[in-house]
Amino acid sequence: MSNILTFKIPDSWNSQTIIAEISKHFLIKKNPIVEQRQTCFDTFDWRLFTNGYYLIQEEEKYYLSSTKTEALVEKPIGALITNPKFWWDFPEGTFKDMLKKYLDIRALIPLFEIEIKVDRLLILNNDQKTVVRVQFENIYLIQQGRANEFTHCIKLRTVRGYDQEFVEIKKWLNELGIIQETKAVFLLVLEAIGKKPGDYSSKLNVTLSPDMTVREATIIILKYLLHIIQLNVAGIKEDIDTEFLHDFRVAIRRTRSTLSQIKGVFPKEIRDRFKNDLAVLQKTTNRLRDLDVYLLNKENYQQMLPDHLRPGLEPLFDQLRLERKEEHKNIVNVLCANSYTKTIESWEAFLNSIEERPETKNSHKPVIDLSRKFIFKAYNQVIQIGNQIRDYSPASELHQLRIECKKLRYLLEFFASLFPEQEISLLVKQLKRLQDNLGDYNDLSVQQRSLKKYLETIASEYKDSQQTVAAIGGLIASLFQQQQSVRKALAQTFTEFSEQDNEKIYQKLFA
Amino acid sequence: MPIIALYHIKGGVGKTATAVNLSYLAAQEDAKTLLIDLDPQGSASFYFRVRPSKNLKSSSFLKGGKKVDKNIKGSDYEHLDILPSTLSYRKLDLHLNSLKKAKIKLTQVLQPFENEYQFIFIDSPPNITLVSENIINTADYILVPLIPTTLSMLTFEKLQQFFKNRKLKESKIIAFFSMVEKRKKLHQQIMKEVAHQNQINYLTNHIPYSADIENMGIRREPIFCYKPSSTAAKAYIMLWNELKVLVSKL
Repeated sequence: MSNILTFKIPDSWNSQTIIAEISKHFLIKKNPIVEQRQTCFDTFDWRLFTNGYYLIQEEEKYYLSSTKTEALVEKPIGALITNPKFWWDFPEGTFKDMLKKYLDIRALIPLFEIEIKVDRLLILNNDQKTVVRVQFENIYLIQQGRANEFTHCIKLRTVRGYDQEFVEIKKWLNELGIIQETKAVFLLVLEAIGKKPGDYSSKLNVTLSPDMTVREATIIILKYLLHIIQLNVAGIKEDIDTEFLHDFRVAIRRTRSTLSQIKGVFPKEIRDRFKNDLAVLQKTTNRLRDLDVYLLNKENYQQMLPDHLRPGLEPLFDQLRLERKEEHKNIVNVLCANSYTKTIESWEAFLNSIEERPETKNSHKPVIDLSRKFIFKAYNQVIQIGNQIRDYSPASELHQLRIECKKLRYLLEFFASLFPEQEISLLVKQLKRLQDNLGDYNDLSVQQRSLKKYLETIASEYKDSQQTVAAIGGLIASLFQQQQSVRKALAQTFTEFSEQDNEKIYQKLFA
Repeated sequence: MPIIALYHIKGGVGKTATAVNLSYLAAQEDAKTLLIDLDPQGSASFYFRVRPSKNLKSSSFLKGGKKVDKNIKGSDYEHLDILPSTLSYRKLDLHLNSLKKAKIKLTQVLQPFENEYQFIFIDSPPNITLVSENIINTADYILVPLIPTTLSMLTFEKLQQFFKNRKLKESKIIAFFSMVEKRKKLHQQIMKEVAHQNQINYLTNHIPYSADIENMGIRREPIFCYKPSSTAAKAYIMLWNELKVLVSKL
């Protein structure tokens, strides 16, 4: 692929001035002016940008370029789709595969629209062969349907095998005082419209310092989480993709966990009130999340079944889709209602005023001491419960272990910035493996239960849908088998988690 | 990534014009395309106004790798690169002779480029030599332009015989008629006769004899750049569409 260099030109210059200058020194050929309208896309959490790419749509063509070199990283693709949202909206091929890898289940969101008027010029050698391509771009930013002049620049594009000529013209431009622009146009536009690439991530990204009080540290964590909650509301309402709700719920869960696990930091009655309000809010979104997960799993479900049974799942997914539509309406209503606004507003007001509130048992202790104590206690709890689990232990005991693991995980994440990064990430990785096992076990059992419930309803409604009954039966069997093998793996996973090396790190950091 | 070689024992049958125009058409469809000019006369390179940057020796060409890579040049058209020919390619045969595994040497040279390009075209020199045997071994398809004359068909028979003798895959051969003159009865007759033989793949579309094609030598660009709506340009498009389907089955 060819390299592209962008150069700034003085405001007073236009394309004519430069073309005149260039033609004095080089043999040129002018091509007709073209106008392009481009829309730039990324996901809400900047998945393309963080991997070094940006996606541009120009009419029916899509271009994936590198943020560093602006060069295409994949062959452009034509797609007769006006508003592609997900990777699966694109035609088969390597372009789609790349999007799949980076976007996963997140939707593309248009970031901005620009119009570019391009004067195209070819620099030729004595054989009249093109050796460098030059473009003068007048860029207009489209805002509220109006095109406002934004900037202009020159782009040089290499032609393979003609590096020397490229260097020559670059040198000549530099001598004219025209310097290379270090930022890609799309970054300049983002800057101008106040968007910061990479400014959202669902990860808990707070920096604490050891000399903070527990209350100070806790407020930093809670304010961060509140911010995440608020940022995701619009995306849930517009139903852009499923991850807005997911991130929203995770932030609420983390908030509740902060309140219950970092003990003695706030006055009890206030803490209990918010814990309760948030629990209610969380609960109202449970069903929508469940439905999202089922619908996202559709392909997995189909793959568990032989071809001839697959159509039997359609009625199930039709019903789930209908229910989801209703459920989404409900959640939009909840998020628009007064009670939601009130809860969030009073929570925000509380976080902003807490420093004036009276001291409580732990509120003014150094965060470093207490975080150690909490984490070590949570770790011991996991070890203790885990050690009692046998192959024949009931599901309720696994459930308990799962809850304790979650507590430990959140504490490790809350206080991660106080401890050496490498060791914390090792501990989180170890713990995550155990959590994945327990989480899979739980998910598989929830899925079986709800399929069984569905089976009971259709059995009474339409008795002759044999194919559906068979398909659901097949699914339940397959899920059950998966669950069995997950269960079998638990003992080994837990042994790995509780091994000495891991314990030593816990001892060293937190005991 | 099919490798398509334009080849015939006989010269002057429209190989180069076809290689130039078909590789242009492939690139126009956004497929990354490489045209390798292995004919020491360098006509394809001349049409694209491309010269080899350093005098690439045939011995270093056969070593492959960076030396070859460095000599690939971007054409004036998006997605189309050229590996230009040099006079020293006339010694390719000599160098091949002195190498072990001489018959598959070219395959090794081109192997690194097969992932980069969606189509590779080779414009081959005429005659039967070690170079042509290499090309036949390496290419997935041997595209043979035939002028519908008795002599041209006789040489084509020789080519088929050569394939048989050397146990080369005759199924690689795709033939089509080139420089066809509508008014010549003999042309029409030979084309008709061939239509009933089915041991060789014949394309149904053919390229007419045309002054517009001959002008490529003066214009030094694919026919689509100066006579896009000529009969000849349309004939190349039809030929490409037919060929594309065949070679995409690979």
